[in-house]
Order: sequence, then C-alpha cells, then structure tokens
Amino acid sequence: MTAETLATGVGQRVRHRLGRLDLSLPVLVATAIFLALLIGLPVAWLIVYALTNRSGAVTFSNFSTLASDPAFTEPLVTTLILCFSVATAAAVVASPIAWLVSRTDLPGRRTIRALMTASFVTPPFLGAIAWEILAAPNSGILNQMWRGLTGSPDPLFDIYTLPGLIFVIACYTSPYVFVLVANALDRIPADLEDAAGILGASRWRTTITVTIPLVVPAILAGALIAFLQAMTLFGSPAILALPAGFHTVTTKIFSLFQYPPKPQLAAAAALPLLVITVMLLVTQARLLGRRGYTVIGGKAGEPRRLALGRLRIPALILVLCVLSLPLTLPYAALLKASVSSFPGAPLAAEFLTWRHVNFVFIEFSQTRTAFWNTLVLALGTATLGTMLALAISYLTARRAIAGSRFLEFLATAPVAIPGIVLGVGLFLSYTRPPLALYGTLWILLLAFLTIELPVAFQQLRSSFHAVHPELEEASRILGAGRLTTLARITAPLLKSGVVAAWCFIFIGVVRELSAAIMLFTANTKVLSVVIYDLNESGDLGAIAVLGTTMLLITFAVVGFANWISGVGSGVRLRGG
Amino acid sequence: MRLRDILTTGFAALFALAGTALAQPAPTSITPDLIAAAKKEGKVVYYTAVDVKVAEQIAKAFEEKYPGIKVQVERSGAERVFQRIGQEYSSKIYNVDTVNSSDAAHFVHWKREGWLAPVVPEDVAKHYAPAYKDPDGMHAAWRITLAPIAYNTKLVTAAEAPKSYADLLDPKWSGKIVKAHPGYSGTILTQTFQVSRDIGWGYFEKLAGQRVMQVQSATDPPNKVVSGERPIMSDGTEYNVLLLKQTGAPIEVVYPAEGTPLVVGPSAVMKNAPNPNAARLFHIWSFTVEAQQKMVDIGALRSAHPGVKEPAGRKPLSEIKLMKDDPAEVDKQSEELKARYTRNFKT
Amino acid sequence: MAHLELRGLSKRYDGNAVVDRIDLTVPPGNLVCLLGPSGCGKTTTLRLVAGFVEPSDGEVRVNDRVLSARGFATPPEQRRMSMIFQSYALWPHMTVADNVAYGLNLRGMPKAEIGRRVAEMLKAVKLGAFAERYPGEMSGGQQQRAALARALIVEPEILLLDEPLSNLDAALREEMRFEIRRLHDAYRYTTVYVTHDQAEAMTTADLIVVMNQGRIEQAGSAEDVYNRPRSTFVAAFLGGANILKGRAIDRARLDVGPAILRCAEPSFTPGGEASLSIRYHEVKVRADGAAGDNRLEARVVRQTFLGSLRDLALELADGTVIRASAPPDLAVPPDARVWVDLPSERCRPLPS
Repeated sequence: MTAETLATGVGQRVRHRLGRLDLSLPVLVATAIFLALLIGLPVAWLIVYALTNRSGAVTFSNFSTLASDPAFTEPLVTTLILCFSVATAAAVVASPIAWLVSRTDLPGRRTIRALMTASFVTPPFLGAIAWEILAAPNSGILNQMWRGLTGSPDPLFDIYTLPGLIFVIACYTSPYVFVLVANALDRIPADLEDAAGILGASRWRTTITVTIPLVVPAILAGALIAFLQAMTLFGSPAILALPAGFHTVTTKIFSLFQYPPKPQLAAAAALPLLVITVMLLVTQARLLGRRGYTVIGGKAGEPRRLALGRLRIPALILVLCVLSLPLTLPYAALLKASVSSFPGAPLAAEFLTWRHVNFVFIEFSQTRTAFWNTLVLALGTATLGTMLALAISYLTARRAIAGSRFLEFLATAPVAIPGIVLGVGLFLSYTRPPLALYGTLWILLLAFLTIELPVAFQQLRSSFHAVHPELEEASRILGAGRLTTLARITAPLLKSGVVAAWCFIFIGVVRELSAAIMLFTANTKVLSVVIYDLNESGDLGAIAVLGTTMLLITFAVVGFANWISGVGSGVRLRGG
Repeated sequence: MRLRDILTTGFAALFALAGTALAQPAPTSITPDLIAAAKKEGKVVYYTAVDVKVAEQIAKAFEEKYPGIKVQVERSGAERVFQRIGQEYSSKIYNVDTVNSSDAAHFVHWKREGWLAPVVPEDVAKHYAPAYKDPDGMHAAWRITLAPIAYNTKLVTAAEAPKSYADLLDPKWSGKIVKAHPGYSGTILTQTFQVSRDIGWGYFEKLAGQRVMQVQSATDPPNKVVSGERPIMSDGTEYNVLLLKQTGAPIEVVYPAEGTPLVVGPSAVMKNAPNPNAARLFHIWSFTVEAQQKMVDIGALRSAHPGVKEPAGRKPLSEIKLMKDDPAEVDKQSEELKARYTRNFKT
Repeated sequence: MAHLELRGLSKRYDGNAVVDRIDLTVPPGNLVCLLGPSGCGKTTTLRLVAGFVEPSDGEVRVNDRVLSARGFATPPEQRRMSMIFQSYALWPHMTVADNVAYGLNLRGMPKAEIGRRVAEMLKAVKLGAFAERYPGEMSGGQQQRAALARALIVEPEILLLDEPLSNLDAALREEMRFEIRRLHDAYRYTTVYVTHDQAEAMTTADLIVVMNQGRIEQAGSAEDVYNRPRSTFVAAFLGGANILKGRAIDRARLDVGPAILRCAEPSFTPGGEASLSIRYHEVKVRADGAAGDNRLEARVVRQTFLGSLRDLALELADGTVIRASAPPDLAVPPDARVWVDLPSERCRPLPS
C-alpha cells in the first residue's frame, strides 16, 4: 500500500466515523419501547376489562362474582393442588436424574440428556392424548394389560383424575428442572468439591453437604417454572379434566368464552394467577437470602464423577423407566394409534391401516397450511425473540439505559400470564386500529414472542453474566460502537446461549396451544390447534400421525440449528 | 302412505307454495356464468361442524366436479364455529364463505344479525319440506343428524343393552356411560333441549349420578365406546356410530324408545363472503342429489332431500321415532341450558 | 507430622508427560515450595500428592505408607491432608464459621468443642468478627484467611497450598507471605506449597524445588538455588541472569567471543562448548577503564532509572546484549561507551 492510498483509506475511515451517528442509543431505546408496548398493551387491556362491566362502567363486581361462586373458587383450589403437586413431583424426579447424568459414571449419559430434551420437545397436550390411549381406565392399554395379568376388575391407574393430570403435566415439565439442575451441576467448580474431599468428606458426604446445596437455587427455579407451567397450561387440563369432571382455572377461563363470551370475567379470573406468581417470586428470593450462590472464582475443570459401582446398572434401569413415562410409552401408543383402524383395535394385521397417514398427508386440507404456519411462526418467533431477548438482556446485564430494571420485570412478567389470558389481551389489543392484526400471522407472532420471551431472556441473561464486561470494553476502546461490539464480540461469545435460547423459543412455539386457540383464524391455523380440534372429535389416528411428524420436524430443526452453529452435534439444550 | 304423512306433505307443499309466493327469493341454479365467476375466485372457505373426514370427502367431490376451485375446510365443534365467527365478525374479519353447523339455533342468531345472504338452491326450492328450510331463504337443512344411544357389542349383549333413556338410569350402568357436552357440541345442545323438553330435566339430574364420562364433541362418544373406554354412550352422533360399524368396530346403535333427538344441521352463505360466487356454487351444489347422496353414503348422515336413497342396512328415517326440532327455542334457551347443565354435571 | 516422599512420580496425558519421574523427600515439619512457570507440572504434582490425580508411574508415600501408585490412589478424603486452593474454594452457601467447622464436623467432634476451636482459629487468622459472613460478602484477603483457617483447623498431616496468593494484590500478597510462614512456624505441618513467584518461595520455604517441563531442575535452600543455579533455566528463572556461551579454553576459562572470562570454580571441559551465568547486579559498570581480566568494553543500548538502581542494557563487541543493575547515580547516556567488570568469583559455570 502506498502512502497515498493509506492516507485516503484513513481519511475515508475518519469521515465514515464522523458521518455515522451513534445508532446504539436509539436502537436500544426503540427496543425498550417495543417491549413495553408488546407486554404492556395486552396487560393494560386485561386490567381495563377486569375492572369494567359489559357496558364499560368501572366495577369490582367481576371479582366479587368470582370469589362468591364455587364454580370459580373450586377450579382455583384444584389448580393450586395441581401446581404444588406438579412442582414437587418434577423436582423430586428430575433433580436426581440431573445429578446422575452430570456427576456420576452412569452409562449412556449423553443419550439420557438427549432423551430428556425429546420429552421437552413433546407438547404436553400430545402427551395427554397419548396417555389417554395408555391409561384411560377401561380402554387404556396399560390398564387392559394389568387386568389381563391380575384379573383385577379395577384399573391400575385412571388418567381421568386429578392425580392423572398431575402425572401427565409433571412428565412434560420435569425437563425444565432437569435442564436447569444439570447445567448448574455442570458449572460447579471442581475445587469446591475437592476442598471437601481433602478435608476428609467422602464422595457421598461431599455430594450432600456441598454439591446439592449449591444447586438448590436451580432446583427451586426449576420447580417454580414447573409450577407456573402447570398453572398456565391449557391443553392437558382441557383434554383430561373434562372427562374427569373438574375444571382448572385455564379451562374455566376458556369456558367463559363460550357464547355469550364474558371477557370481563375471564380477565378478572386471570388475576389470582398473577398474584400467586408474584408471591412465589418473592418467596424464592426470601428462601435464598443472602447466601451467595453465584460461585466465586474457581476453576471449572472436569468434575470428578462419583463411581456408582454396583448401582450403575440399577440406576440406569431406573432412569430408563422414568424416561419411558414421557417418551417410550406415549410414543409407542401414538405409533400404534397411527396404524390402527379404530381406537383400541387389537394389534393384528386385519386392523392395520394406512388410512390415517393417507388422511393426514393427502385428504386433510389443513395439514399443509398448519405445518407451514407453524414452521414460519416458529422460525420467525425464534429469530426475532432471540434478537429481542439479546437486546434486553444486554440492557439489563450492563445497565445500559435508565429503567433497565423495569425492562427486566417486563421481560419476565409474561410467565405469570396464562397463554389463554394473554390470547384474550392480544385479541383485545390488536383487533382495533391502528394495529388490526387479528386474522394475520402477525398476531400469533406477537403472542408467541410475548409468551416465549421470559425463557429466552433468562437464558441469555445468565449467559451475559458469564461474559466479562471487559471483553466488550476492549472492543469499544478500539473504536467499535455498542452495536458493533454486541454483534462482533458479545454475540459470538454467547453463541451457545443464543442457540439454546433460539431452540427454546422454537420448541415453545411448536408446543404452544393456549394462546393460539384464542387467536387463530382459518388461514392462520397452527399444528397444535389442528391437533386440539382433531382431539375434540376423537380422531386419534390422525393426531398420532400429525404429532409424530411434528416431533420429527422439531428435532430436525433443533438439530440443524445446533449443527450449523457448530455448538455440538445432536440436540443439546444447555449453555448459560 | 299413512294419513299423517299425507297431511304433513300436503301442508308442507302448501307452506312451500306460500313461502315462495310471499317472501322466498327466487331459486338459484348452477349456471355457466356462476361457475366461471366462482373459478375466478378460485376457492371457497367452508366452516363446518360435520365430521372432518366427511367434510374433506365432500370438498374433494366438489373440487373434482369443479376443478380450479379449492375448498378450504375448517372443521371444529359447532359451538367453536359459532364462537369463531362471532369473534371474527366483531373485529370485521370476513374469512368464511359458507357455513354448516349442527346447531340450527346459531342460524337463527346469524340471521337476526343480518350476516347471512339469501340463497335458495334449486333443489331446496323444489324438493325440501318447509320444516327443513328458512322461509326467507337464508339457510336450509344440509344434513340431519340423529343423537341416539349406542353400545359396545363386545362388552354388552343386545339383550342387556339399554333400549331407552330410562334404561340408562339403571344403577348397573353407573361408571359405564360416556356423553358429550352441550357447551362444546351443538348436536348435544339440541339433544339436551329436546330430551329435557320431552322427558324432563330430571333425566339429566339422575344421569349426573351415574358417574358419566364427559367428552367435548358429539363425535367423540362413539370412539370411546369402540375403544371400550365406556360400553355405553348416552348421546353422540349416529353417523359416527354407523361409520365405525362399517370398519368392523364393535358398536351398535339404539334408537331410544322415548324418541331420538333430531338435529338439523343447516348450511348458509355469508353475506360478507370473500368469495361470494364460489360460496353460492358450493352451497347450491351441496344440496343436489349428487352431493346429498355422497354425504349420506360417505358420511352416513341423513338427508332431507327426498331423492336420496338410504343405503342398505340403515334404518330409514321414517321408521325411527323422532323428537321434534325447534331451533328458535334452542336459541332462546341455550345460555340457560348450558348453565344448568354445568351446575348439574360440574363441568 | 508426616514424612512425605515422591518416588519416580509421573503423570502422562495422551503420552505427554506432565510430571516426569519426580523424586522428592519432604522431612516432617518442613515447608517445601514447588516453584516454576505455568505449565511446569507443579500443580499436577500437588494434585498427585492430594490424590485427585492417579499417577501413571511412581509412588506417593507418607510415613512409608504408599498412598498412590500406578493405577491406584487412596481417595483424597482418606489422606488426612488439607489443601488451600487458588480460588479458595469457599462454599458460597455456608458462613465462614460453617466453612471452617466443616472438617471438624466430619471428624465427629462435639459441637461445643467445634465452636471453641473455630472461634480460636478465626482469631488466629484475624477473622474473629467475620464468623457469620458469607464468603460472597468478604474481600479477597479475608476469603484467603478463611481458606487458611479451614485448612489448618483439621490439624492435617500434610498441608497443600496451590498458588494461594495469586489472586491478591501486591501489598496483601507480601503480608500474607509472612502470615503463612508465621502460621507454619506455629503449627509446623509438613507443607507443600505451589507457586510461580520467587519471592513467595524464598519467604516461606525451607526447601525450594524448581520445576520445569515436568521435571525437577534443582532443589535446595533459597541461597542454594539462587547463588548456585545448576542450569540455565534455574539461573534465568530465579532473579534473572546473563547467560554467556562460548568454548572452553581450559577448565577455568571460557572464550565468549569479545573476551575470555575466567571462573573462580574451574569445571569446564577444555575444548568443549560451555556457558556461564552472572546475575545483573553482579555486573559492574564504570565509565572509564582499560582492558583487563574479565573486563570488556560495551555500548549502552538502553538505560532505565528504577529508583534504587539503574537497569542497563549493554551491547558487547559481537552484538551480544547483557543486562546490568548499576547504582542509581551512574548516569550514562545511550550510545555511550562503558567498561563492564564480570568478577570471576561471580561467573558460575553451568553444566552443558
């Protein structure tokens, strides 16, 4: 390079820099405003509706109606029992498995992680349908086998009961606990355990006094998510609670939209759920107190795994048995249903049929639209949601603008809003000008974005905390703007967290039913709604075919996302 | 022909004549112009509560007959169809071209709201009894659904099987009955109305004591009976029972001694249909003998078209004691019926 | 108090020796420092002693009991040792008192006795007021003291320290060096101390073991390794030294090119390639003079005033650059010609 071209180059660069305003502040502020609108608008409408009557006058009558009518208080009590049981069951079952996978020499640890992910990918409503096939009191395959074996007239397990519903929901919420606890265990520095070992603590003693207490926050966080999931799920209760003869808050809220719709009551009925959530978050903070759970310094290093010795094989068998509940058994049941000519038909050649496959892929006109919509929405939401969560977690982790704490609250708030209620809020917000989005995919995109934001945000925020601010400062002092730094330095460092967040959203969207059921229209139907409609009329065969296809596609996309980003082979939901 | 039938037919003819003369719009037939205009639109959106497989087959037959016009089938329970359309129309979204539901009361509501377009298919004008069509030509009975009792033939013998609603209250059927929900199914709402009118609400109060399994759609109880989940269904759609029986499933229908609830499932064209010509074409065609026969053959439904032949082995409509349809009354009582039902069955 | 012995101790990962045939004896009550640059294998040696790592070859013996041998290692918890980690490894979910009491609880001591001893120990490390704090609420130095207390209170047979001061600032580090030595003198546990800091090693150790590339380069007292380095590496690593290479004329004289240097201790092989070392501060610089024994002319390349001394880089006639620490008042401008003395009693022959 000659001196002249060098000079020109420098000149251009200087001009370029002078001509370029720092775009970072406007972009960040715009993000914050967008977030405030995204979440604030539907919530505001809900509050307005909860506090007005049909003619629009301000009133508290909605709440008094709810509080005095056992048709509303009973579902609330049922829901509380359901949530506590699910949270406890998920924590009790998933934490030991996470420990076995992360800290012992259990055989097939990687596979078990992948299988746990598979049960995470399974939509809870699909699991509920599969468990109907398995454990309906009379026709359930397992109950029939039980009767055949024992001659007992009573079923082994009746899925159409509150315990049945608890069981099914726990099956599909325990992966949350598993992922959180396993990641926490992975991150405990080996030093902390070695320090106990050298002082004379056996491996078991170390596990009990050091390892487990250190993951208590993760277990609590996981149980909390399980609790909130159980509280806000719609599909599983809708499928199992009606035959069992009870309501949960979400099915009750849904029934309030039967003709004539009572959105005011529905909005008011959602309020106890919000209150419960806030109380839980406060309790969680109390419980943890001032113990510093963020691990100080420490070399991460490969942890020493506890040798299970003779317990290795029994432990593996136990884990596989547990995994058969959300996975092996339900998918076997679905596979059977997909080729049986009628529900409960014996598995014999004369009752085998391709009819359902043919129906789903050739006759059923909604299949293609639904697959397409689901895929577009899942990809779009995952990508936009990750970007949004990235921006918000940057703002909050680095306290980049005033009010970042409020943003943090906003980004977490949607966990407390049941999808069905949010669906109502969005419906109220986006059916009027200037944003008449109802009937388009956009409203579903907004709904999914809102619903999935908290998970992605939590994931990315913890990833951010792992990246030292100096790494960013090093880039900025060299002349890179905030956005450039975010794109060139931070994002690559956060890659595994970003991919995990993306996958979380993608899977979440595919699983989502409760908001979609309020917001879909003919052209914007998604798979979960199609499956729900098919279940309403008892078309098990078609559901089975659609459900398994949906699982395969989800797996393919998640696997591809992991592969293309080079984070690792196969499906992995880890990081941060 | 018995005297009563003669009288009925006579009155019907009289009413038909009067209707035509007074208000009913002129019948529309399928003209090349209509076909051309419909083809230009290219598709028709069909909201329906009929079993999804029947709906898809009808759609396919139409697409074969009029290539280039796609039928988009949107199937869900009648109450959900109703809720959807209400939700969409209240936010000025006009998706639906033509609608079919199992709850005739909904058409009373839509007509009152002015959402329906008057279209009288040629066949309806010529062949349909007045009980099966709207005097103002807004809708007509596209299908007739019965809501009988049924049982699993492997678990219950024909001799044991209940013959009437009264039989269902026998303690031996406790925990063995499945039924659908009027909050989700129009068929069952109508059934609930007719049974409570003819036998009294006491029946439901006693039935609630029988530990019944509650499902949503009227099409689901037959599946639960076939799978053996419950050996008896106290209500559900006849055509699903018949269709399952055809596949070799162990199920048999019982027309209760007190009378079988009759559920008229009208069809109509929406006034704000985005594809008005295709909507009319589909609507008119769907009332032809050809389409109605298909609906009966494939869907095992009942038709109000006198030209349709009942397939062998099915009990003809005329031999079944039927309850009387009264959509206007269902429309009036629906909210109260549902609330009462929810109190009674706790779901 | 225990007698620690390492015999032919090796650790290989994928065929690469990280620790290579180490022999070392630590007499009871001694404090041994493993000193070396990062990657020299000192931490792995420590972890072999602790039992966190199994040796590929060789043995770890305590009081003539074999604790580790090839393919076998008594678990750490059965070794009656304790250890201070570079990260301190304080458990963040326990208070300082709970952290310190942990080892005593394991030993089944009565609660009252534990309470008494913990209070005593915390006082000894000057943390009496911090018993109920959580580690996250304390400064680095306080955490370091807590880690010390936790390790000392169990009265270990052997105490292991892994770079315990590397996370502290300079002033605190110096204070803690003396603190560790003071505590060692008080308790006299057999101690192995790993560090890369020469001053830390010299302050604390009875015996310094200089390690490089998995091997022991030299072991001895601070004076030994400093004054009588036996290899280029030890000479350069400890305190810095000029290494001059050349051909031996006879057993005492080395021809390094621009001059012939005489060593006080004759140990060269005549005619062979050899080298000698001389520390920076042993090089005498004067502004004028004449050629003489072990005296040569040089050009000043760079000079830096460092307060207590003046650091010079000097170019010899053949282009070799040596460094010298001169008195601070010797001001010589760059490019000036100076004379340097390399006293023969300071020129140490290095084994080739």
